[in-house]
Amino acid sequence: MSDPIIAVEHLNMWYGRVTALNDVSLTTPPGISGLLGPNGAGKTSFMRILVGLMRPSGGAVTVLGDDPWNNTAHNLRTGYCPEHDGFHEWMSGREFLTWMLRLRGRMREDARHGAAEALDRVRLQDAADRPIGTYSRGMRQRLKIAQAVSHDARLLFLDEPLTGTDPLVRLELIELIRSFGREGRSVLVSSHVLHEIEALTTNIVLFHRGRLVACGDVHEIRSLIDRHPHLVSVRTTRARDLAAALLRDESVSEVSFPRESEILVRTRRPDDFYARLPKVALELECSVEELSSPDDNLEAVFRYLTEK
Amino acid sequence: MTLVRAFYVGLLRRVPPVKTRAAVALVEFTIRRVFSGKRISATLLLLMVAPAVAGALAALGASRPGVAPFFDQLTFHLSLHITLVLTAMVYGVALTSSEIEDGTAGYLFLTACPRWQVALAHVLVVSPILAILTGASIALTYAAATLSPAGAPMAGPVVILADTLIAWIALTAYLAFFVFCGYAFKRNLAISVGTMLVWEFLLPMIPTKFATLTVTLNTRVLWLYLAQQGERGRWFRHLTGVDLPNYGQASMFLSVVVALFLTLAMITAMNRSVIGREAA
Repeated sequence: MSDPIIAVEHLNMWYGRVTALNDVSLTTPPGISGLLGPNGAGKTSFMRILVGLMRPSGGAVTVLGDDPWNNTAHNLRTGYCPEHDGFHEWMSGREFLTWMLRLRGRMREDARHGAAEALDRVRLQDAADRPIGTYSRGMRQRLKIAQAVSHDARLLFLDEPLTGTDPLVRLELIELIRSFGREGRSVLVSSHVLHEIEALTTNIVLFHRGRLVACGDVHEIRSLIDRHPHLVSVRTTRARDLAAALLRDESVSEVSFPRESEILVRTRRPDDFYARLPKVALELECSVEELSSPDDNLEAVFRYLTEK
Repeated sequence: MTLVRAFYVGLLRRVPPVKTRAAVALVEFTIRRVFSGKRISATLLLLMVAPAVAGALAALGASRPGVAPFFDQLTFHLSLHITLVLTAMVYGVALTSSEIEDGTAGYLFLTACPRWQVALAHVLVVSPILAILTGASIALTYAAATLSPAGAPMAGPVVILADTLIAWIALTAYLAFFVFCGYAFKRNLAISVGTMLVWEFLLPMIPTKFATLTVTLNTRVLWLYLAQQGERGRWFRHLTGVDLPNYGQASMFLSVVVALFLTLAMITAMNRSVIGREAA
């Protein structure tokens, strides 16, 4: 068996009196691993500790054999795509990537070349010279991923890379992340949507309220989760038409309209629903602007799981 | 001879190591950030106040006597005291806590540059740029003053150069302090502004020996020696019970302040966790 890429022992993280991570111990094998949990589960804190942005309150962390805290060599071997958009909005995507590569020690020409390659990889060439402030959510996600992979990192940390993207971009990003795995890179990708993680890997780590709930093969917990109804929020231009079409599908048990352009769909078969949605949208020729699974939904699933 | 030439050619062609290339990029990236965003607009606006006031004064009070000293006061009180503190605060906070908050600092901390280098660059790269801008502002103030036929002081390049040099020293001290606060405290703006008010604005008004322990007073002493031939004159008439430090003491004090806060800024940068927005 190969050495674990991440090894964590008795990891604790506190923000004042709030416990973000509580005695987490785990190892992850090479390849793609999924980090799953609702908001506030500790996923972002965990990732930030692994990339070296945060120092844990207690415990030991080893990533690719090294302690990540204040370790510039570790920074060159790993790439991080943060959840939140934090960019110098006045910069163009190309300029941002070129600077990031130069700050990682590349020569000027080499950095320009690497930036062009990364932009090509995430299909952002057309918008490369526009200020980042004008980018859409999907473009910003792709730029963050480009930044994480541009320096040929061996290990990628992708924090909620699919959040807020439309189904088409989502499919593209899922394929992109899979391609990183095929290239031999290891990836730790976080999400609060099981379906997204499942599309990427079978190896998952489940967090809930700062504790490690489960770690291993997704199929073992999948059947448990399937029994719980899922809630999916869809933002679209033709909410009523899409809702009518979705209701004809057996996987959908209930539809409601919290806002004019938003549908809240309750389903007991999320796989079928996620597979059916792009087809229905295509048939109706309506655009799906955003797809998300409300956190309270996953929170309920986790409560259900932890109570079992 | 051939060997010597081969040595230099080899030296020039040598590819610098990753850390050196990253450090060079950090300097360039810091310069790029100085001239971008709202911070540069705010700074230019601040720096234009003194020349604008001087210009207006020259135009309005052209024939009145006693206008001339006011131009020196503008340089002395506004450009070399208030503006310096404010511009240092704008950059010190913008480059540290603001970037941590908006998430851009995270990218910088995940490069080949150690965090102490980032903090060092924030002080040592930004201060000379701001000093040159301040120097330009002072030159413009005097240029505007020359419009007054009442007899404005002719500053001359030496005095403007001395002012720029003093601005550089003071900016380095203030920036080191603000960068330290930006990395050390969560409520850094309140803490740094509060400290600055007490330390730099209130303390020099009080006739105690502690008044000599301010950056402002010591930079003014340097200014007296470099630009005013060391004459105390009207510049410190409010400080009746205080023995002014001499040039050597002022230099020593400012060196200690710069070294202290620069070291503290680097140490705090090395120990600062960049937490997510949810946690914040």
